Amino acid sequence: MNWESLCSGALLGSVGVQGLAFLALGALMLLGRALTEKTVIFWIRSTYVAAFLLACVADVSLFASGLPRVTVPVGRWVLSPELNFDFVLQLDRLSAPFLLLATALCGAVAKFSSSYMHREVGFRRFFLLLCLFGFGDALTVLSGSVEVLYFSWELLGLTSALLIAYFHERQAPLRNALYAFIVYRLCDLGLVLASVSISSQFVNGDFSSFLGNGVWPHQVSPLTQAGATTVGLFFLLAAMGKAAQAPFSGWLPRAMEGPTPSTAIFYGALSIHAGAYMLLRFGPVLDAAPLVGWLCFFVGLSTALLARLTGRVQTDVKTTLAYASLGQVGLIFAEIGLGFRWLPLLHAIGNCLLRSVQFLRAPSVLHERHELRSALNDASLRPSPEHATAAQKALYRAGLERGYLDNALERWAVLPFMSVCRFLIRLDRAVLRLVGGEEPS
Amino acid sequence: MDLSPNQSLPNLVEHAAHLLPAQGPITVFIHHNTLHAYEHLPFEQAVVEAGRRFGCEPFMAESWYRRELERGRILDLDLEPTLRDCEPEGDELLADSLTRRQLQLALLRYPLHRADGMALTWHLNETGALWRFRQEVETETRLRLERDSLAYLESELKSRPLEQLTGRLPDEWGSDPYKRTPVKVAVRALWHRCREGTSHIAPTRVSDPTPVRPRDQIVKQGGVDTDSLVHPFLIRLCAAFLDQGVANAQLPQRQLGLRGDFFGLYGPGGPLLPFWARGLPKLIRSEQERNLSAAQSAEESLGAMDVQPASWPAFVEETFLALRGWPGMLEQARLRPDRLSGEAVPADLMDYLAVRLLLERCATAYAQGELNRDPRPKSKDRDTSELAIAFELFQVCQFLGLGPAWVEARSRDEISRIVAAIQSFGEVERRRNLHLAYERRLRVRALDAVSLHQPEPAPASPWFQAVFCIDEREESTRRYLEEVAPSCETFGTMGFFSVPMYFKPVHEPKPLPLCPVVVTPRHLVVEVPEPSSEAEAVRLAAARRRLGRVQQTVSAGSFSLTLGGILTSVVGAVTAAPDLFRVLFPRKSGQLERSLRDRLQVHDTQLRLRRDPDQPADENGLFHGFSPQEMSDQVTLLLENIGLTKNFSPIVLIVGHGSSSLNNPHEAAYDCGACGGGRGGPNARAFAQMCNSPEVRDLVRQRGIDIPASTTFVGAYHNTCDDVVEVYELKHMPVETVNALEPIMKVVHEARSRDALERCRRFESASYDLSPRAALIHVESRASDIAQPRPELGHATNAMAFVGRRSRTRGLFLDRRAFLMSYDPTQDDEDGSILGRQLRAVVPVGGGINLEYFFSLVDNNGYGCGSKLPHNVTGMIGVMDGFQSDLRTGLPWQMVEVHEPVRLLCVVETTLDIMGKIVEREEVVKRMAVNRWVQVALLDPHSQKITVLEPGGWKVYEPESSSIPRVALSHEWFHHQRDHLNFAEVGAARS
Repeated sequence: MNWESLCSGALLGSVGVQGLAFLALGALMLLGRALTEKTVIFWIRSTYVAAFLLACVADVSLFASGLPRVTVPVGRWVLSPELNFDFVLQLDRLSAPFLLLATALCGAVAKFSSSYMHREVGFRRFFLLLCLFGFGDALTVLSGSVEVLYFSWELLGLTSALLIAYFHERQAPLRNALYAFIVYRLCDLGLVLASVSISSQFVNGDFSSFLGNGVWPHQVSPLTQAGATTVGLFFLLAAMGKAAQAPFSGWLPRAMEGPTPSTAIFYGALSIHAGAYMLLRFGPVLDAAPLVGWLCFFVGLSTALLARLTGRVQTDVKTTLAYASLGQVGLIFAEIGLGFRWLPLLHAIGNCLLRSVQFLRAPSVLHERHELRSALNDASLRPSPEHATAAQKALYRAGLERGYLDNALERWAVLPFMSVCRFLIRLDRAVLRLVGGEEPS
Repeated sequence: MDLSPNQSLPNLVEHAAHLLPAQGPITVFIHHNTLHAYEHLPFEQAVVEAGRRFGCEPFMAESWYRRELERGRILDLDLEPTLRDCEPEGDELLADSLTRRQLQLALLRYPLHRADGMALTWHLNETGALWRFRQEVETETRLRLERDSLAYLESELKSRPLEQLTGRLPDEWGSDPYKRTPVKVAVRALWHRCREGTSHIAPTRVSDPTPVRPRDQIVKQGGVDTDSLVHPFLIRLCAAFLDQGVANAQLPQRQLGLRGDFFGLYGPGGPLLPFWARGLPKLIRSEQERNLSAAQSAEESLGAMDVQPASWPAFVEETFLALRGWPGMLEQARLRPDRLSGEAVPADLMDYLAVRLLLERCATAYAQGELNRDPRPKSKDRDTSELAIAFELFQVCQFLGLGPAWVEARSRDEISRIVAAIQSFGEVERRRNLHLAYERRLRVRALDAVSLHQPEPAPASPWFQAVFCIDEREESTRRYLEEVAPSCETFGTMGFFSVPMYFKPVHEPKPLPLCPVVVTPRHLVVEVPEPSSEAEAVRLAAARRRLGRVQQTVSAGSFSLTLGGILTSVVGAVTAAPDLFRVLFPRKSGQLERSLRDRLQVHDTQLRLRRDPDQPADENGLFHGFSPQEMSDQVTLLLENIGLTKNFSPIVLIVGHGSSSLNNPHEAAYDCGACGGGRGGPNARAFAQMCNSPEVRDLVRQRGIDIPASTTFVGAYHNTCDDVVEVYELKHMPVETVNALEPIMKVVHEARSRDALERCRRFESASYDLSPRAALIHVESRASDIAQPRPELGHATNAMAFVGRRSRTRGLFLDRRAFLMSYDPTQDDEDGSILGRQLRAVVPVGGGINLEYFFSLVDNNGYGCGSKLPHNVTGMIGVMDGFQSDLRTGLPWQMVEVHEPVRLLCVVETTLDIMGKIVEREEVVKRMAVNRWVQVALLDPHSQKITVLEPGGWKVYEPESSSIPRVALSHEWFHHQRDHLNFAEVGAARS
């Protein structure tokens, strides 16, 4: 057995066990089997231990083999004379660390949740979704074609929305989950368009066809500058949605409705960094399209500034953390836009790890603050400024209003859209009256 | 405007303020009766009225009680006495031989299905309701009903066609259903009789009350819920205003008050207001120009929203209750600025109301405009249909086994009376009765145990004595001490040990109040390093400060862009490592952290306890320490209270308690209630030190209590979460004391291990077969696990309070359910002066804890704060659900889920005569006992006789059982049991 086949086997296994765990758990739940917490925990733990170990094996064998990447064709999706979608996974120097990170964090969060979610009504549902998320994330990282990426991208979005809405007996989580979901869907359009655009230029959406065959990050894209700019813009749109970059940041604080562990892994770590991962993956396209690079830089920088402005005035722990995380993701975007590759990779991994554990211990803030006060022997912290200029107040208000993004979106996108809908309804009724039909109640 | 004085806005606001949650900042959690504002009413009435006012449940759900009935927690025999107590004239005949009480009993036993309109039609057509007798009904009754109905059909068919007896039968039943499925037809016959019988009763129309708030009016018409527009805005503003140090940049110019800040931020107009609030800056400027006060502004907004003065009281109340947590906290910040962990804020509810009404004005104007442009279809009034009335009668007949013949024989009046009786015994009534039955069962079990248990007098010369807090979590600790060392004696008293003080620990920057919440301490006690370790203390403090600075820089820096960028990209992975380790290995990392902290703290300290009598108070009005006279007063008071005035053993342990856990915003709620949500260790230490002072002993001796020179008091602290017991000032004790203490501490260690084991029986994650040692490890890892939302169960087991001599309860397994307060009736005077003091303390504190658990469980989302899992700590003052919600007060689900919702049963060892005097004298005891917020029973000091306070007055209690089970060791009783247990006697039977 050579390193390459070991590697492909291991990476297939690492994704596969998570997918299988989801299917098995889901099937048993559908069949109405009463699964005890112990059983669920046992399966989830075994799954993540296996996924993590297999990820280690895959990574080690990739480097031992010395290949630039290991590609595993899993099967054919669509087969027609014009179109040819393959289900391809690949592991290379970019996906290797992310795969390790994803399985390790999912495992740690699963361990945390196994006691944190104890006796919760939605215990099984939570782990089912966690499994699906883990599967989706591993697939995102390992995807070898735009179509696979799109599939896994949707899994991330779906599980994210479902976990925000985890407490579905209250209204606010549902409302906020819907908000996030709409933004996701809107931005995912970018990925669909990119896929269409690539398929029209190449036989299929395999990464190798439009990203070149070199070693990451030294690949050279065969796309023309115009082609790369179009595709790059689409990719950027998709990445911005999932990474909550301005002007799409409004969903991020709303996503704090879910249980603490899912918030940690999604918005502290894996989900919010998926956009950055995607841009790193499509680095060659960005290299070929300087305009997109600059745009990425500006989006990232303005998001970072906005996150800082907003984060500094937030008064609850989770939102504060969400904006701290977002600020760094903004910086990572800016770094990518400037053409760096290794730096944003490191930055993303560091941010993932730090924020997820900070989220996990968010409920400890009172304890920690107390310890800190006693260590510094200082009871007073952060007094309110007695004097403030108009500019300071305006800045404070801008932060309190989260950079006015929500207001702007409501005023310039939601309300006009609703007006159009209302107009259409009226038009519909008028036409009905004209032809003498009954008006629906 | 012409208004009666008590209808002016400030008065209305003040009145509404009483209804807001009275929970202070979460860092000092003080248990209190959630419905304190309703204590002037009898309990059963108050819960219903408050439920209506707050939109909360008055009792548990009917189905919940019925499950308890099924599993035997409520017995069938509890139902009738309860009904008899509630409605003494229930023997009235409704029809034939059917009494009102029989009807009510049936309604308690079986679930009445209630539906209207389409839901009812569906139920009748799609379930077996019309072709099968109710299966829940007792088999015997059901079979009798079946027989009777068939007999009726048999005889009537001779004279009438089937159609007249049963109405039209469904076509799919075939041509001759009576032959094929007679029982189905019999059901139909009963149904038909019920339909015919009730045909003369007109259904009552239920119309919703007219809404007072414009918002309700708009919502009723199908418009936008303006609260969903206004609340996020208000929440952000209130959170910013009340923040005690979460935000990096604090609200500028907080000294201007909420309204001033709001004007400062939103007055200048500026970019992009929310779409519904575009007119806001203009309104603000107009108010600023005319220099309106908050009250004037609110009045103007009321006018602008067209709220008539007559409905102002209701409007103000409902407006405040629409978002209650935040204004509640504003009020608390105004009332008790000393409880805030950071700086005081100039909070004012009138400010809040003015701001809120300005916003509401904008939002309702917007929503009304939208509604006018695009009107929605109106919703219809509901009415109880004739079908529903017939269906209720139909079900009741089945519960009682009354067939069609019986129904047909009833006159119109009789049917009307039955229907009226069913309707007057509505859902709330049934839940109330089931609840009383639920409480009755536990009361019977508890009183039986107490009255049948033969007193076990304390040993004549005890090996050692130990004084604990009354807390029910110490019940098991005390029981195990007595189990391990039968020659010891234990006492219970309020856990601040009569030492009300502000205490400044050596490692804390700010003194904390350690005494019940109703007391404001006048003394400050400071902990300082021993002279010998002063140099070390300075060195360690510097080290701690340096570490703290690094920690502060890192944690604050990780939120900034630049430092955060460097941190995350360079060392992000490393900084996360300790926490990942913590998630994977909670206990190990807890031990590591503790040993690190221990190394950085100076342990050799002393309390500055004594002051010269003539030393004046400081600038805050606090005396630094206690004078010998004050100390002797406190020592005498406490020893008299618990009846420890003679027969002192060589060692007397004084054990305070608290609880420490991680990742738990409600941590303070697990601490000592008698210390106002603080930890009682320092009080125990101070009290022991007072008792050991020769000067104090002399003074105490003059008042008749002779503490022999051979007796030493030892202060200790019990952590109820990890069950660690530590002793204070071990280093400064004489060798002989240390030697005497050593075997005692072995007993304590054994007792705490067994205690941990008993606690573990409740945790599903602990296996049944733990050894005491493994149990200790289990509770220790719970305390240091950041993934553990239930570090301990707190007061979740509380159910009763016993005030009396320990001998009356010693040897009883009380399942950690009883507050135990020591009181010796033989040492009290005939006015019950000592008992009065004791009850004045235990009734509001124990009752407050009990009622907070009660209401947080009965409506966990309304009175409690829901599940912990989405909680988000905000402003260091409380928690929200998710990203922005009302401030959630009360207890989380994880704290109350195993609780049994019963009112505290106070068993007091005294006579009726003395108790009568105390109820007259002590206002709080009177209010809570007479209005039944606590249940009261008296145990005669000289016999086993028990008297219970019932709605009608005192009544002698007759035990239901004749003996209580006995086991040799507690462990035998609780082994393999997770649920609440019956009471039992523990220990070898004495002949």
